[in-house]
Amino acid sequence: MRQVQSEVKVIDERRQVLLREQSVAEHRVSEAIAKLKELGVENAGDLNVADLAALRDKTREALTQNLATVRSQIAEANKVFAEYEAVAQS
Amino acid sequence: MAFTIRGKNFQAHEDFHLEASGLTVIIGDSNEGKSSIFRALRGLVRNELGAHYLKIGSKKMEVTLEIEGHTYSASRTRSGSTKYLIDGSDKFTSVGSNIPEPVASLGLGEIELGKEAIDPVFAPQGSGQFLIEEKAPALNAVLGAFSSTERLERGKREANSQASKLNSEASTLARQLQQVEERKARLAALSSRALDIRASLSSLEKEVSRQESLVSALEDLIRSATALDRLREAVSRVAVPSTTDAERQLRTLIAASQATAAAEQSARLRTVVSGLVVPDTSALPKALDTVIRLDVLIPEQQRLKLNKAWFERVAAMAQTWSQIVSDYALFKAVRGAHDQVLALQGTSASKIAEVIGEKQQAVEAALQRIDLLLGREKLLAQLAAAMESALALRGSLVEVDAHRTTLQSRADFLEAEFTVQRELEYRIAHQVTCPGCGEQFIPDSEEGEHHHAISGSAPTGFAPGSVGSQSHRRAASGAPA
Repeated sequence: MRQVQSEVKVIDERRQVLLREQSVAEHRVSEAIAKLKELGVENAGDLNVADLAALRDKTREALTQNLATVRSQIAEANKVFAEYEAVAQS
Repeated sequence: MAFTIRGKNFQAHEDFHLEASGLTVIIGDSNEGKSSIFRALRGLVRNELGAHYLKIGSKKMEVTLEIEGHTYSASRTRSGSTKYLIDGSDKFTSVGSNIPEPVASLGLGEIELGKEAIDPVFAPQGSGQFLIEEKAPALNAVLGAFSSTERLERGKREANSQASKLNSEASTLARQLQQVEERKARLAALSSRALDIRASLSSLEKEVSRQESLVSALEDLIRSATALDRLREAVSRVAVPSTTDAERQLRTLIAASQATAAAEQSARLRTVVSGLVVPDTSALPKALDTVIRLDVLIPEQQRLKLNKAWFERVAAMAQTWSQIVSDYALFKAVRGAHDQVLALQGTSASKIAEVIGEKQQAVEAALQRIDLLLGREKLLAQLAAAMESALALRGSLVEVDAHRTTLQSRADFLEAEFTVQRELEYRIAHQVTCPGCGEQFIPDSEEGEHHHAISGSAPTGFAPGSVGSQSHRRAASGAPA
């Protein structure tokens, strides 16, 4: 009986560890949802993992496009600087 | 140049009206007012309408000139100043002694040449033709003005040269200005483009930062949600078995074992107790009292009657003991004498031997007595032992009584234990376990008020569908029984 009780205790302790980890994971999820709400995603808590992944990919694509636009703008700015140098020296 | 002049209350004229164009000649007799018209025109164009021109008996004079589509009107009273009304506007009502600018622009004023002034419009009365009878200073000034045209021409040529040079410079400056303007336009365009780029980069920077934060937050959420799902699945699959029933059964088993052991022990104790004979100590106090009395009455006659011989022996022993004491004193004296003998030095050997011989005899006699006394001493020892035995007997009786008391208390304790064991056996034999809540209780008792068990109660649970189980369910749900 004591052996059984000790084994049950071990199982219970492991379950408690899992519950603690679950609580930590839930806290992280809440923090991530709050952060997304600050960034404008109001329904983050209602999306499943697949939807979140799709949103992430879509955002990543938009970010890539914006970065490309930034690079083109920087190139345009460099052209402006070069033309200004030419005008200043003329 | 055609013009019309009108006047009221000017010198002799109460009201006059003259229209002139080209060469106009005014003729008439003396004092008809020909010069008055002349003076009225001059007074208007040069602000020289004196108060003395006011017709006598009138309060206000007025002169009006209509020329080149405009109307110039001047009026004054005797004490006031001249007031002009030009094309209906009273803007020049307060000009003082100045000529209003619209009137001066008619070009009918005097011309100043250096220090001289000539009047090509109005000649004094009785004067000759213009410049013919002009005084020398005035004539010289006019001629000098005309003679200055050569210098004017030279100056004009120089001015033209300067103008040409300046025009060239102006053209150069204009070209430079144009270049500067073009450069300025290019710089303005570049500035505009730079500003646009800056604004675009600023907004893009914010959007890029937001999107990077969004992607990071989404990845965090995906990781956390995935981990959370796995943990929830693991928690749902981990079932901690309940040991409550096993523990309850074990406790029941242990209780039953303890009850069995207690019952066996109680049976053994009953056997021991039943076999334990508590000595009847009722007679002990009396016997003890008798012994005590005997001890008290030893020197008395009753004791003697009980053991006269023993008393005699004790008396004899006492007497012998006195003898022993005296003999021992003698022995000590002999010993002391012996010591004295030893201490006697220089005493003659014969004397010493004599003393020794006497003392030896005494010592031998004492030793004989001592031997006798030793036997008596043994008797005394026996007497002391007998007395001690009596005392021990008395102590034993006290111990026996204490032992009786202890045994009695032990018997009471065992009886109480028996009672507890009987109750435990009854409880173990009659208690049941409610299958609903697992609580153990005894039916038909105080704790069985809210529980109902079938008769011949089983140690655990109710039979399914039994009245007891139904009653329990009703009791648990609050429904009436």
